[in-house]
Amino acid sequence: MGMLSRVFRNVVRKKVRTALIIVALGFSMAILVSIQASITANRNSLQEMKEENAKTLQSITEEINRTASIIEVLPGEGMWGLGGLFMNESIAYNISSIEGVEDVIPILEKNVGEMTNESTDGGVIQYFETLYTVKGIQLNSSHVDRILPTKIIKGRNLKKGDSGVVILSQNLTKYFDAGVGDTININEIYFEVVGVFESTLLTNRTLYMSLSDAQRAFNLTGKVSKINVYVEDVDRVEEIANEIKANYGLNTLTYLDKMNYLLGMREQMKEREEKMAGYVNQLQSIGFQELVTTLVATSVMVLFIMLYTVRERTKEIGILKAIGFTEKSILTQFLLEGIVIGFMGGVVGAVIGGIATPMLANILLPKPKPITTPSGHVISGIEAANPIVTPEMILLVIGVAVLLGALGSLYPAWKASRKSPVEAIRYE
Amino acid sequence: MNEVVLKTVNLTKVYERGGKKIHALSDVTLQINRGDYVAIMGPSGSGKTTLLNILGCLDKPTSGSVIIDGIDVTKLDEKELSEIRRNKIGFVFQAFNLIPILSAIENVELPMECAKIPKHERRKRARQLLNLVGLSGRAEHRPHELSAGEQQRVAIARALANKPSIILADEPTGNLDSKTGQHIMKLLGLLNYKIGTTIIVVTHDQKMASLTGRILFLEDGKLLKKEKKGTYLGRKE
Repeated sequence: MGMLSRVFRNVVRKKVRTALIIVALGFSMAILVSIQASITANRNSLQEMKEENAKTLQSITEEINRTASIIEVLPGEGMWGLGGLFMNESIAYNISSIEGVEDVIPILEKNVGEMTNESTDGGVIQYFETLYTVKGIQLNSSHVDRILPTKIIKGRNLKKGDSGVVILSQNLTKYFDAGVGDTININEIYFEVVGVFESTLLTNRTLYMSLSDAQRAFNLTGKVSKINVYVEDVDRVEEIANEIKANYGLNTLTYLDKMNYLLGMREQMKEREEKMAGYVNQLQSIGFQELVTTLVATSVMVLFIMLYTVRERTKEIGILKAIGFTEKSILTQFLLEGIVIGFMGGVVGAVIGGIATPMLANILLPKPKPITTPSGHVISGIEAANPIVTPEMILLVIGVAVLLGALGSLYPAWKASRKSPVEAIRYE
Repeated sequence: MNEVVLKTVNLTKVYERGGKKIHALSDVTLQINRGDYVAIMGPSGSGKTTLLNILGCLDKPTSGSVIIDGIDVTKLDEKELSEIRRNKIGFVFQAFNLIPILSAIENVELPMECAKIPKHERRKRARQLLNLVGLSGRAEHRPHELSAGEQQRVAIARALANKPSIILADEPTGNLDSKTGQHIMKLLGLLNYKIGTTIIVVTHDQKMASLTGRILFLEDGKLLKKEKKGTYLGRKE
């Protein structure tokens, strides 16, 4: 019959006390888990959002810088020229004769996809889902290398005079289930894959072929969707763009336009990040308040229950002292009881927390508010991340519960063990 | 020549209650020899229990000294007192004071655990002691499963666990009927006879006191000069 087995027997024997403390600790530890899990998840989500935004901005900036001396000439209507409007390829050759123009690359860019229906509150919305983008490029142009992907993983890049061949982004090899040497079918025309390039954010679902192949595949002979105009002197980009606009009635997209677009995009991203950061801060402050309240309430409760049960056992403490037990060993026994009960409460809390975290977080913590216009339209929303319970959190709650159990038992046990044995034994 | 196991010199205990000083004990000087079976008699409120608690190092005197086996225990600190209580003294209480969650044998083992006696030895000795008090068949019973007399026997076995120099019994028959009380007093006598442990019993019951070898009288906190012999004849030297 050692101290430990006495401790366990007391824990089991004092069922009401043990149960009350375990319930109290279990409940507050579950709250601790859910709040912590929720804050961590949203903080991670903010971090991910920031990283992803930074990556996107960086790759777009790089692309814009890379193409600083390029004017993208687009059909008269539509910002990006992807609205199904095309220009005659011959315009490209007219533009090439403008003074200061170094080179032109006519491009036919077509998105291949399917119409999809999606039911919303407002009815069924039909939209075009892009499966992949075909870029047909005039391979005879001297600046063609500046458009074609740079990192070829397998096979080779496109070259002057290529016909009936394509290069695929690595990502698209999965979609077509094809690699170098295989043939793929685009609008019933077969193309041989001669190379695979590393996907980037912007060329994720893109395949390249010669302009005439693309015109053939989409039955758009003599048509292009975009003309890349290479200007000798970067400082003359805006001037030449204006000339093209004036002479041909076409839309142009220059470095400045793209930078403006980027700035707008950056503003939007920043707004979302700030919104998310604000939400995380809100979670932290509300979570912290709730946590402190819960922990204080639980500590007081545990302390009172312990105080009550240890008082009940003052006589036992007196007897132990009369038999020759030292204050230290009596204190150790009661402390161990507190630790054991605390541990049990922590485990219960971790289990409840693990199971009920999404529900508890839902009850305890606020939802993010969407960003709306003054008229009430949602511009962009942020979503609360799903709480993540980590092993560290489980260890944390068990640790906190053990600490509370120990502290709760320490004070009353210390008080009782300080009593003179006579006083303690007489205690009823 | 009789060896002195316990001695008090001018033992005084004063309580303050409601601003009034109450002399629970006044200048008590006594001497108990090793192997004695002594009763301290007196009406309630005479200071018997106070005296016993001080002798057992459960309480401290206001002045005077208590010498157990040559050690003046009034000069010891709490840790040293624990050691004296553990090794030199065995307590028997009126209310038995067994630990309810422990079985009879575990209650007897408890002081030995405190004295760091190895487990198998504890168990063996606890069995012997239960055997000695006639409870070998009740070792695994919890206190609430035992009769009052049986509980007091377990308490006596527990008091003997660490082979103390003195057993101090505070009204050990107070919660028992007369017949069981007599059995307990006789059992204490028997243990004194067999093992030679010094036993001091505090009682207000003339009949029980008469079953010891020597009776001292306490009145209003003072030890009376008169002393009586009991019916117990003691060990043959």
